[in-house]
Amino acid sequence: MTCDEARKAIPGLALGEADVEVSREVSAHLDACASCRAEREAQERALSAMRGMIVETSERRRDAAIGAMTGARDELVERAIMRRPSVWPLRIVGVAAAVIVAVAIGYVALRPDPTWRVVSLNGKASRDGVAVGLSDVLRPDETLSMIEGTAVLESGAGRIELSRLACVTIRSRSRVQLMEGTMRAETTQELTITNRWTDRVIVRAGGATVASDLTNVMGSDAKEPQKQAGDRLRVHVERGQAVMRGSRGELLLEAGQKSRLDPEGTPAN
Amino acid sequence: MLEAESDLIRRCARGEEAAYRELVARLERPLVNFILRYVNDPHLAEDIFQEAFVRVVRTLGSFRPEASLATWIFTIARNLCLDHLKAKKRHREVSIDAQTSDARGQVLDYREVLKSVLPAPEGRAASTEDQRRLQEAIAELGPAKREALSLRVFAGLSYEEIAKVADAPVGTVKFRVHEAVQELTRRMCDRKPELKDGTHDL
Repeated sequence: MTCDEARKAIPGLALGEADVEVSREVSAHLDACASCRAEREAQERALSAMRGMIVETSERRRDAAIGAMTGARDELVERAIMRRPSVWPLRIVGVAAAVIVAVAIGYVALRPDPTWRVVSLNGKASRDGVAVGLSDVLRPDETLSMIEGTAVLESGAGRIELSRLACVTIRSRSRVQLMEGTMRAETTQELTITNRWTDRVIVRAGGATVASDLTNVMGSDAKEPQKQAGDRLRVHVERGQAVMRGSRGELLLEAGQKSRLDPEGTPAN
Repeated sequence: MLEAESDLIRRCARGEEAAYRELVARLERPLVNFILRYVNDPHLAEDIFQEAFVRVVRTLGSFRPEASLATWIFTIARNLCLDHLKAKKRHREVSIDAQTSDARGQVLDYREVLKSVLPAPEGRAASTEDQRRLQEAIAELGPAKREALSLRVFAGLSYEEIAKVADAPVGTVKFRVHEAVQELTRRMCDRKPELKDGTHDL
């Protein structure tokens, strides 16, 4: 082994890492080489001095480190809590949903019954070609046509008495459309009677007779009798008040007063 | 990874103080010695030692079970050392221009003040002449050699572990350690003439 080879191997030897074969070869060289031997001794002294510099453990250091670790852990926990989504938005949404559901249930349960019931029938009436009997119920958009005699219908808002040949379509509990003929309306609240157009009579806490006139005239072709509008609505207020409203004006009527809407929709006494 | 080690990690992840204590006790001696020799500043070494364990708590979730616990923590400590050394270097570069004296001509750099008035216990322990010279010689080593030497001699890590921490091949870190030992010996001999008495007679 040359000195160069020995010098390369000496650190491993000094560190105690060299394998048996290398150790044996280097030792043989060192026995014969004072310079390399001195180098090895110097390195061993240096390493010995290094090992003498090893810092020992300290309770104070450990405690400080553990304190820092628990502090870091607590900080992480705190951050996790801060990041947790607030329950308030969920609560607000929950309360809002509950209110909506309650209102919906309340509306369904308490909403006014929109139907009209036949409480009196002296004659014949039909609904879509089918005979109507006493106590039958008419729902919105159903039409009752009197064939003969009279009939009385009631809803939660009032009652109407249909004359012979009158024809009405139910719109709601407080609104009917008088398609044709005459009817008498009574209410303790408010009833609205419309015709084929946008005209209306609003009866307030009283009674009134309303007619939707269609005058039968003979057209040029005698074989085809045609209906032609005369006065669009007539009203006679018996009790309370009524408002007659046409496309060209409005008129407040007191008990005992009459009015009509001319073909242009203007109310007149 | 050993079962006991993974159990220790699990307990640490749960935030058990006893597990923290066990982990610190297990690694204190090699870790603080590595850090101290790497940064060559007792106060900074103590700070980095604590900071390394704080980082362990914060990053336990990212620990890969296939890695060794010691290797992982030494890597954390090594990175912290590098950060501090870089910051210290920047500070020193700025300080060259910015450093001023007060009216009585005293240096105002607090680190220097601390060093001068508060010799560390390690400093006192290394009071022999050889150790003082050695300390200076270690500080003068290049960073890569100082790192390898600190991990091998002062922390007692294997070359395989050092290679993982330093992110370098095993052969390279072994070479760095041997070079560091030779260089330190040379430097010590330069400072201490009686070590030079060996003559090359072959």
